Amino acid sequence: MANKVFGKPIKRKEDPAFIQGAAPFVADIHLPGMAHMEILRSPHAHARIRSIDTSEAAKMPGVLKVITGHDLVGRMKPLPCVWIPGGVESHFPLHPQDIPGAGMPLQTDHVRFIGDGVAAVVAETRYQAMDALRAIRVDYEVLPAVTTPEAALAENAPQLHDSVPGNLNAYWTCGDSASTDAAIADAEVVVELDLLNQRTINSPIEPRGALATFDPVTDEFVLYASTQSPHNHRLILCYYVLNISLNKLRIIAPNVGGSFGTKGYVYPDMPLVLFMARELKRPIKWQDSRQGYMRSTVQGRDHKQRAVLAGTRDGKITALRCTSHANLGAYPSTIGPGVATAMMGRSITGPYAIPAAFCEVYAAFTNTVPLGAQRGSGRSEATFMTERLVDLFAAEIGMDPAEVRRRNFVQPGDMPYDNGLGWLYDSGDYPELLERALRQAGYADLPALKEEAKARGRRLGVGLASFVAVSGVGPSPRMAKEGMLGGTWEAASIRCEPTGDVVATIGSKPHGQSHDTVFAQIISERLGVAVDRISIRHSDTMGTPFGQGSYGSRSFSMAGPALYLTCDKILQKACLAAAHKLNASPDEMVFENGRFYVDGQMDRGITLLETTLALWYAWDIPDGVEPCLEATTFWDAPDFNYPSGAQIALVEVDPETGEVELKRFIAVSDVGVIGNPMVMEGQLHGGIVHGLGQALFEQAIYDDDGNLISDTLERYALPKAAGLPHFELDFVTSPTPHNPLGAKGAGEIGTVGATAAVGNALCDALREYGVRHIDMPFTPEKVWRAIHPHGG
Amino acid sequence: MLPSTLNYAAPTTLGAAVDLLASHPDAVFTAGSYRLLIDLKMQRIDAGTLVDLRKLTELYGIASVEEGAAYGVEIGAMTALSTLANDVRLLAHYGALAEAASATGDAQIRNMAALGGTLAYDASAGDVAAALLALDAVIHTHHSKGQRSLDAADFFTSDGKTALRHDEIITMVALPSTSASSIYEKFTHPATLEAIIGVAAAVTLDDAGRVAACRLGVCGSVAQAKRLSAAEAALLGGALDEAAIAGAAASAADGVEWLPSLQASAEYRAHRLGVMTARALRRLVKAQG
Amino acid sequence: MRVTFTVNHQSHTLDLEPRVLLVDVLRDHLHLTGVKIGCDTGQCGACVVLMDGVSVKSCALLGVQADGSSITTIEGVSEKGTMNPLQTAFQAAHAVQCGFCTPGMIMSLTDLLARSAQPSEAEIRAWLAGNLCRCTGYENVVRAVNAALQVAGSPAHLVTETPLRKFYDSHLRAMLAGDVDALVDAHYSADAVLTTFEGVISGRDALKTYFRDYLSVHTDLVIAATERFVEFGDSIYTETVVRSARGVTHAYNAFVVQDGRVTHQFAGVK
Repeated sequence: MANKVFGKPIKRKEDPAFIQGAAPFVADIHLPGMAHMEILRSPHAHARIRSIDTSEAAKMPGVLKVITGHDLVGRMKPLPCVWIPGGVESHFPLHPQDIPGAGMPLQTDHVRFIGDGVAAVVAETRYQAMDALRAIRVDYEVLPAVTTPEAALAENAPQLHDSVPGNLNAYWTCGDSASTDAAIADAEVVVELDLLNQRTINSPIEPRGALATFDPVTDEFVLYASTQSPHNHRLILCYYVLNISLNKLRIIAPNVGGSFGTKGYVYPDMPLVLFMARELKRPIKWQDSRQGYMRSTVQGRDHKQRAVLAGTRDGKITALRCTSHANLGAYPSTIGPGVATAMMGRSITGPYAIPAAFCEVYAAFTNTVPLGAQRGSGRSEATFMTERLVDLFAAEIGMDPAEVRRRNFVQPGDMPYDNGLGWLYDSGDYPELLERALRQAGYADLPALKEEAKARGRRLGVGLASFVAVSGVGPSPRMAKEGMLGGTWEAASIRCEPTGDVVATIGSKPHGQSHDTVFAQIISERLGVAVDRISIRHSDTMGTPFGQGSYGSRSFSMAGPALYLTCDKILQKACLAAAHKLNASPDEMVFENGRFYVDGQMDRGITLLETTLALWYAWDIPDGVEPCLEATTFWDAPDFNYPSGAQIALVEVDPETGEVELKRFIAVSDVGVIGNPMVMEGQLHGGIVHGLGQALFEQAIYDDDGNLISDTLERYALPKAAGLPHFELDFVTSPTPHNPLGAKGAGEIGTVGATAAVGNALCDALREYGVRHIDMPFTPEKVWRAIHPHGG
Repeated sequence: MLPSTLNYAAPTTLGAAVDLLASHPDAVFTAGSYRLLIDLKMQRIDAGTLVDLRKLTELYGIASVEEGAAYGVEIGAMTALSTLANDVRLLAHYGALAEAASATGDAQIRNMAALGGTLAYDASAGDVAAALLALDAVIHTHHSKGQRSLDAADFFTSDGKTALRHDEIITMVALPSTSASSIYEKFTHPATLEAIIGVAAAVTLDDAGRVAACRLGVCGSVAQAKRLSAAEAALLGGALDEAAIAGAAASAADGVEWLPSLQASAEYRAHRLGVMTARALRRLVKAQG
Repeated sequence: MRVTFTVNHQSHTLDLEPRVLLVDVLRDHLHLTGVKIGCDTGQCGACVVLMDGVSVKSCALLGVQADGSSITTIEGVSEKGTMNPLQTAFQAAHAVQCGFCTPGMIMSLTDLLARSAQPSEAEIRAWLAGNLCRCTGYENVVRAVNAALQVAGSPAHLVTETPLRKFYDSHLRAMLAGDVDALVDAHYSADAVLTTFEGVISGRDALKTYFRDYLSVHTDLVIAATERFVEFGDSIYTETVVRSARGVTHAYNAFVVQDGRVTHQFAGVK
């Protein structure tokens, strides 16, 4: 029977509030008696603090309290890091509870990056708090700074943390070094490439914010925060930072204005507003500025890779090796170290069956902003590297890049496929993805189009990107192997109300991915209840089960199945009650269109609502069945899931100026079963443009002293609407066997392939100039210089 | 964040505005300049008093001015860039200014920024700077001792600022009648939307198709918005053919001093300016039919 | 400083420190939190509102600079709980993901749609240079605008649908298009009379001359806001903020409409 609502492009239920400006974000919340906090951040990337004088600031109009790190000693612990690169020796800053530390919210004697906190002020108004910041006098002794892993790991480099000798967090590996090196040594063709996957700043349009309240009568806190993971952060703040009972802290994430990874971390402002709320017994609000955001919120990517691909003259890849230096920033972010290692390293083989592969990552601390996940984290850096190598390999052996890919794809029949680096691909049809993309692009016609462009004085290039992206990050046992300190399952509860409404509570939460609608579609399809009668409750730790929030493209493929299985439980229980009401055996019951009936006797039936009422009244329910139609599921997937894609970019280069124009962008994606195609396409649009931003515009630029030069949107260019083509999308469906929906994580795949597609297209356009490779961002000058290495 | 000491005044007469500036050494006037307010917010500059000219109603509007058989225009300094971008007279006869106004910033900036404010504060960085140089504009001001008028060529100083005195307010920009065709080309900064390089070209051809008059102006990340005199000399008197265009392009960057920029080196910008000059001239040739 | 301005047709008189930004006045003093703050330097566009009918960045304006002006925020583009055609199109096209940039987008696009009945796709995308979105890739936003263009919006920014309002819209469209013949022939009776402070104008020929003169002076005409639109019987009373190359004026008009045409009009301008 065809689906009625699941898999349909229905409009979002949550939209009217956003579109009318009525949906509150943290900064929009006003509470009576609210005061405002500002944080003084270090102007130096690396310095000792000789003294801090807050006396002037304390006297300023409206100021209620000024604190430094000294006021936190004994009252607060450092933030923790909960993802230690698995299976290797690692070194971290200290934390008293035998887990890695991530620094105190305010420093007392040593600041290590440009956004490191030094003092905090609370005043009646935000303006007054900002005025007071300017009156705080800090005497710094500036120290030499290191801004790259290589500089940080060099002998005699300045040391950031006493407990981290040589600034090396971890040396992490995966794969087989010996066999890979042997295969490279034996190979007919070897291609080497040095790449910098540049540091980027995530830049959701909403900066961060936090608002804390404290009730001195009940000793209870409420924290409103722009966070991706309210439950995780509640646990971390209570247990590792503030030493308060979990029952005494409620975290509410009101609507979150985009995140793409950055708001999935615990930041100093969170314990600080809680601390201040308790000290002052007033609600305390903190809103980050954009400049503050750029200087303190986790930044992404930043891998310096040396990559080697070996193969045969007839196009078979025999080995792949990568050595990467990853820049963790000054402190490990809550889950930064895992992002920098496993997410990139295990992903380098992509969709190819490569017999020998090895990746090593040197993860180092430097005097830059801490590193964290950015949409497509790890997988995007791996894909860019490998896809560039594949194209260089194709050029070296004189083979069409599409053909090289065809000759190396893991085939659908090979699934499940162990990539030798730690991933076990579940399903996928990589050849079909590429074929469809090539057909859509009119690949065979492209040589003629290239000639036509040349006649106009332009150079047309076509770039392919084939990729696999681990998603549904991740099941608890699997994440434990990677070094994640926590259970990463999902949970969902559903209750059928006696009024016919259905309410579901989940531990996942949206920041734009349309949970309210798509999850309602799952439930609606299974229970036969209209979408507008189903409410999805999330983002408030009171009243929702524990869950991870959202990251790693896990909501639909982890929380979705939890809901799906809960529907199963609901129907099982309802079936027992319905059968009892109808004097039939449960085995005889059929459920269709929201109604139970006895098989073969359609008019002998009872609706789901009537069943709900029967269980709610509980006047006559079967033995062994509890009242109320409600069920809960805690669910861990058996493994990650692996969406995949083939993307093709067509770019036109103006050789006189180096300007790059994106003419067409094709994305054929396989995310398994899709809940809402309109939402899915929206995720792809946004993800692709996010990748285009890195390819063409974005770079976090530090000077040698560790100052972040690109700390406003005047110096960090985000993609705009002009100059973007319409995206040509298509889908292949290879359901995953790992969850009953067959769904794979889809939020990041647009980004995973986009930089590679554009990079390959650009190098293809510049082929006649002998350009081998250009690092991102592909600014006009960079492209022009690649064409004219000796200048005009 | 703006300082708590900031004062604000919105005088209703030009005289009052000038007096405020004259009597407050730390006052600046704002004519919708968005850049000024951002620089104040970000504490890049200091000002004690902001003198807002928005209530000086006599400074709004574009008037046609008879010059014998031809018409020039007088543009009130408070006229918004969005108005300039859509004015039929400017589009018809002063294309470089209409295009430069249209190319400035984004839609909201164009709505907010008045011509006088852009000139005074954005100075050589503003798109309109190149256009006014190419169109031989005369900038009229009022100050505490009276009035004066400045040729565009004398308006932009070599330190990136303007010749305006502290107590001087731009009241009107006059463009003489012209038979030149003019356009504006821009290399846009991907983040700020400002001009990394802006080139305005105004060319008049005689009956024989030779360049009778030619004015090229550059603006953007330059120390001073100025005329590209070497390129102009290369074009004057000859046919506007590919050889002449190539010659102009080759010397376009002569004498142009570049400000430091994260986006593009001086060498690249010099090259790009040549390319833009050539393309501007070719577009003019095409427009002339 | 004491300043007075209207926001969404409501007048406010406030005592403001000069340095307080307009966006902070709207959000913190007037509790209109639909307008957002996304950056410090004016690129993101989350703070866009209409001021005297044109879109501006409220983070780059002081509250005191709004004195005497008419501001519209997202809360004012439709009656509470309803959505206008552009907003409806946003939902239909899935142009909203996290929703943070949405109010600014809609305010910016409201300005575009008031100026141009048929913007090309390139014009729409260029118009959005001052509105950043990190979620949608702009694709569906552009689709939403194209869809909204199919549904005519009111040039007076009115929401209610009545025959007299439709008449008024039609009158304005002809005026904004500069089509004086269509304006007068279609909307005024043969012996219609227009009374202004300067005198009385009667008959279609005289009316056409009057409107031609008006439009030649007030080029680049935009109806910035309709502060009041009152229907009583066959009459309409309007208070409008009008913007042109000449600056901003407040217009007061009363129309007596019979058989679908104005018989008497009383016009005042400040």
